[in-house]
Amino acid sequence: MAEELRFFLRTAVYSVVIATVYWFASYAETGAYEWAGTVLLAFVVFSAGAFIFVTGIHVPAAWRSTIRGGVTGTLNRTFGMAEDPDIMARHPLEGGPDLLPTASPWPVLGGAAALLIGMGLVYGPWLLLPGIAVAIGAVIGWIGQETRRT
Amino acid sequence: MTTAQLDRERPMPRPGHAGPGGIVSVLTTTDHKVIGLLYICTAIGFFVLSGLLALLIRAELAAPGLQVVDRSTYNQLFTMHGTGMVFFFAAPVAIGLGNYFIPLQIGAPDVAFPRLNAFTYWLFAAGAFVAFSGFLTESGAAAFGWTGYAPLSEATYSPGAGANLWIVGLIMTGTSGILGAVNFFATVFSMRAPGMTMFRLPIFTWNMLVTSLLIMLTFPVLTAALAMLFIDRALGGGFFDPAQGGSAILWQHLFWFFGHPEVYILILPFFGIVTEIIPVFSRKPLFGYRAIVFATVLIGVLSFSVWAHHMFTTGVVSSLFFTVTSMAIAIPTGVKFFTWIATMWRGRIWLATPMLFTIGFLLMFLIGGITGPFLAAPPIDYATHDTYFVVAHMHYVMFGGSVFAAFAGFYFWIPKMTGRMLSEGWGKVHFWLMLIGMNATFFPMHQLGLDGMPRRIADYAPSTGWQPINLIVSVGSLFIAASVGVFIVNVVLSVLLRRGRVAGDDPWGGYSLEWATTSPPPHHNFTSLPPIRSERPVFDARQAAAEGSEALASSRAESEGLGG
Repeated sequence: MAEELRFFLRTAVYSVVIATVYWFASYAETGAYEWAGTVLLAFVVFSAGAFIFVTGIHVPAAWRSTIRGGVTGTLNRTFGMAEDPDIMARHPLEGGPDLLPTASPWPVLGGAAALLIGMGLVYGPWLLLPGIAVAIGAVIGWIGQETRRT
Repeated sequence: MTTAQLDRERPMPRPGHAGPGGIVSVLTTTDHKVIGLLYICTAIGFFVLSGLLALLIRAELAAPGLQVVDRSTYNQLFTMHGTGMVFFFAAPVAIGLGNYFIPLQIGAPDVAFPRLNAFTYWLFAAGAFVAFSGFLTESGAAAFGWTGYAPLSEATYSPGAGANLWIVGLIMTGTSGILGAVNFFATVFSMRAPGMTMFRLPIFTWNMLVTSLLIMLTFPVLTAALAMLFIDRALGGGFFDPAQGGSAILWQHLFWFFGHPEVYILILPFFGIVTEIIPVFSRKPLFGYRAIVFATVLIGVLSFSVWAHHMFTTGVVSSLFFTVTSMAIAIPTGVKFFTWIATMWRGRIWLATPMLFTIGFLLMFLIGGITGPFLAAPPIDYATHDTYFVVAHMHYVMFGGSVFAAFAGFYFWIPKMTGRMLSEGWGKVHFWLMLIGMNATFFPMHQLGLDGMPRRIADYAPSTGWQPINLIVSVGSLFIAASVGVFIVNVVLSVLLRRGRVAGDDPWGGYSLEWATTSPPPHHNFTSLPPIRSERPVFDARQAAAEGSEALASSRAESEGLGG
């Protein structure tokens, strides 16, 4: 299994185990199940699982050659540090990027919009509304720049 | 050193339009190197600002009585000192170094999403400004500690705009961190040069990868908690108000579920920096590459299960569970320590300034790391919770760990970023002042804590007997301030006034790909890449060139002997 997947899989598996242990340990010691911590650990499991799903569908070859070499070999390829020689030979980004990014005003305008929105949440709509307007403009400009590039 | 022929399998990208110069160029840049420098310079600015707040704290505590500030202002000082150091210095300086060096170390021309990268910087800067702008409000800045505990942080006990600005500023900075972490993941997973497998990545890149995992999984928790607090304060919510069915303990769970991985976010990048420096300045390969990678991953994973050791004294958490997990996380940290020592063992140690700060890091972080398991034991924690013992532990790991390693990284990598070497003489003065100042400031705090001095108090009675140690601590803080001044002078003289020695491509004899390009690197980072067949591609290329030269010289000597 590719390290890109194992990286999240270790986190997900550990969090499942520790959430289960925590759920019962919290009751044993305090007499009440501790919901907040258990839900947060479940969030980690869910998030890591989502990353596995997203990474897995973009790197289908990453699932290959996991089950090999018996139980020990499979465990090593699933959670350990073994590296698949087929994956080692591939280039992660075939061909490389065509063009380096140009300068762009939209990130700094997005930051300015965030500043206005943030201050507006504290001080009122006279800052919030212009911030939203600048944010909409920045998003449109950003997408437009990307469209022109491609 | 010479680099090998360009790898023809992967064509280099064409440089894009350079754009206008000056301030417009900075505002519109998408170059990861410029963005990295912006992060680093802004972070150092907040380090100085938060340090000045600390000097005011120490000036107040040097003697009993309120001589410098009133209690309300004092509360703002320690709150914004902690906030500034944790959120606006330590993490951003690591992100800045990651921004600059991750693409270089993996052989990429830039990060995966350059405009998103630029946006994360401006969002961070805006968030930091919003949080600190609380000082300009009528009620002052947030004044409930960087941990923001409810109900003190609720509107009833902390009215005014300063607290709201703190909340909004941290939401913005947190969002910036999440987006940056996504960018780092996409960059490392999809833009590595040919031959750069995951287990040939430089350790700094590995550490930034684990840091990004922690950021992606824990910053949303903080963001949610801050949003809930804002709803409580501004919209009449009751998430943390028991009178409305909420729970103040819920805030602590949410905050520390973020807060403990946060301290690993603040130290793992710096572990990566020292792991880059130690092999180079020991003239040896890294001992146990996969062991240190696995230890780093294990630290990251284990950090999700230790949060409530900050809550032992609430009496509502499982002491046994969190004691076991907190002790367990010391094991992979120990593995890393032994790896560093084994790397240095029987090496030809070069005590240049980066290595001095690295050795300082090892010693100071060790002291902080030893007091950690003390605090993980509930009987000791019950006695020392919220005392200066905790402050001492925290500053030994944060200052002795992150700050020392950050300066090690600056002295190691500023030549690459600027093309100029920093003065070794000033660097050594900086190191010794900082080492003396740090120990004079934070070591006595262990005793203050054991004597019972609580943290976050503006004054203490003369009868407590705490004044002599507090005076030593305050004088020590002046040494730290002086050392930072020396560093700034060094940078100004060596870099800004161009008096430093020209660095060249590889002044230290480095191992990773950033040393295979010019200092500073061109816009597109590389004109050619050496073959990547190990985790030390530049070292391998240098060895190959030396062996080729030796073979050539040997064959020439033989042919002259035959022809003579």
